Amino acid sequence: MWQQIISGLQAGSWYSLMALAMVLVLKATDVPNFAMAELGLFPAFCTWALIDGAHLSWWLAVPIGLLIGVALSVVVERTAIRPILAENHFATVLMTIAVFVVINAVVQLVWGSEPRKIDSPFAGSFTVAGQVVAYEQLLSIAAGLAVMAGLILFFRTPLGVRMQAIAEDRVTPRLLGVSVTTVFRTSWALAGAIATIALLLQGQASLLTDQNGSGLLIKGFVAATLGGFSSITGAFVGGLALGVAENLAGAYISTSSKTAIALLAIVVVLSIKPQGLFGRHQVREV
Amino acid sequence: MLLSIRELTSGYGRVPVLRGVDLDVAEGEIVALLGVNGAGKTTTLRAVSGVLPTWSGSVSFDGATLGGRPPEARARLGLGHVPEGRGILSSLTVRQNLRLGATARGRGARDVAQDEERLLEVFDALRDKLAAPAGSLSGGQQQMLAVARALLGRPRLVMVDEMSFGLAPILVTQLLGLVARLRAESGTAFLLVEQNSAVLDIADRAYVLAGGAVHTSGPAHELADSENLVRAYLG
Ligand SMILES: Nc1ncnc2c1ncn2[C@@H]1O[C@H](COP(=O)(O)OP(=O)(O)OP(=O)(O)O)[C@@H](O)[C@H]1O
Ligand SMILES: [Mg+2]
Repeated sequence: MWQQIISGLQAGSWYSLMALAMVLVLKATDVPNFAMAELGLFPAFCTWALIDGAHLSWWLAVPIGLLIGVALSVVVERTAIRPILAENHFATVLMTIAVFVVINAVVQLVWGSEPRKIDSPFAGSFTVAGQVVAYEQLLSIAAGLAVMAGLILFFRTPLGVRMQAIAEDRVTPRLLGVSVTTVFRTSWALAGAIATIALLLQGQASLLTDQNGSGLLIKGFVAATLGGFSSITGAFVGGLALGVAENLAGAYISTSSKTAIALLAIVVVLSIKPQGLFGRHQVREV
Repeated sequence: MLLSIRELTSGYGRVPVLRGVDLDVAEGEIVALLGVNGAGKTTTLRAVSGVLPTWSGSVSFDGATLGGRPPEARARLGLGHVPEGRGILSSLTVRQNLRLGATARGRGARDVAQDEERLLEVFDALRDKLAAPAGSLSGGQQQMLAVARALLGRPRLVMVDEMSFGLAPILVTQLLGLVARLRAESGTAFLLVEQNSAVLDIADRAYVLAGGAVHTSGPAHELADSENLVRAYLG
């Protein structure tokens, strides 16, 4: 049981991170970003290549990977999203799906479908109270908590306040001098970094394949929806809850039920609380 | 002239609303913009601040032509706009709302804390509420917050859309008194959209808008004395 919970929290942290990235983009630009996980997958593969191919140390390769993640998201926002966002919201959503497909194709083309594993200095495990805990598990959980805490602090800075302001009202903040462009770019940059962290953690604790993105995308969406899709804390708790529920179901019901549990959870929660566990009713002035 | 609007036309989508508005605001002046519902007062302010595009004509502010610039750039030039409905951000605290106003000053704004303190002396009712969610303020306090927030950007001109809307007469008098005081202390110009004749007590000049164009304009006291006008255009 303890093992299932720890593994659940580990996987849940990846889901939480993905959900946080998606909520950031959704809050700022109002776009459900179907490319979110792919925007982390490509930099994760780059990091793998840097370590495995170029023999860089993990400590050097990971920051480079994160920078690639930021750059990729910023470029995608600038070239693919921003030009059509003001014109056609629905087309923008389709565009994120197109970006998903393109990045996935590039990853397959460059690295193939063979599963990889990112070598990390956090191999190994230790035992507490007779239970084995892997360092990777601790790292994933700690990274999730750190990103969450960092975001809470960030939203108290002037730039963070501007982001919240734009999320609530598209016009008034601009009358006060807030640049929407800066807010959009910042939210995509942050989201890109967070998605990269999620894929890196998964890629070094488990396996890295071209399928990781689509898997995490669905889990991230479920977690964000569980959390109400507007709340940072909600997205985070939603991810952890999903990870633990999945692992317990896998162990005590059946392994094949894992994914079904994810979707069942969403259906149950939404039928009881349509605005999500932490959701507030959307109030947006027109 | 600080603000000059010449033959401005604008509207929503393809529907024209403004049919050639001419209006000036001088440095440090308080100007009232009056008119019945639907006359185009809000639309004028939106076109000046860049929320709506300039279709034709021109808007210049402090010597710069505004046409084509986004609202945030106009705000950074020193053009404040308190929108209809006040635009209070209820997901933020009162202080966060207020501080957001300093964005218009651009990077490295100094003395924000001092300016905030000075504004809180004028808008004293906000002082105890700084940590409260902005949505919890009363209507009058929200209006004060909206004006104070715009002023924290150190604008040369603030356009306020129906400051008196929904407020008790005593509050309206108080707020107008504060505007007059702010102008006297800081030299900030105001363009006040109103349907309330009390605004003529503090305004230097006034314009009456009808059907998307200026119908009458002149010194505020002259318009206040013209009973027909007041009855036709003001409550
Ligand atoms: N968002 C909008 N979309 C389309 N038409 C609009 C919109 N807002 C206002 N209008 C129209 O533009 C015209 C002028 O409206 P505007 O809001 O500028 O008037 P106003 O003088 O501010 O009136 P009020 O005193 O009611 O605020 C009206 O006919 C109105 O119906
Ligand atoms: Mg109006």
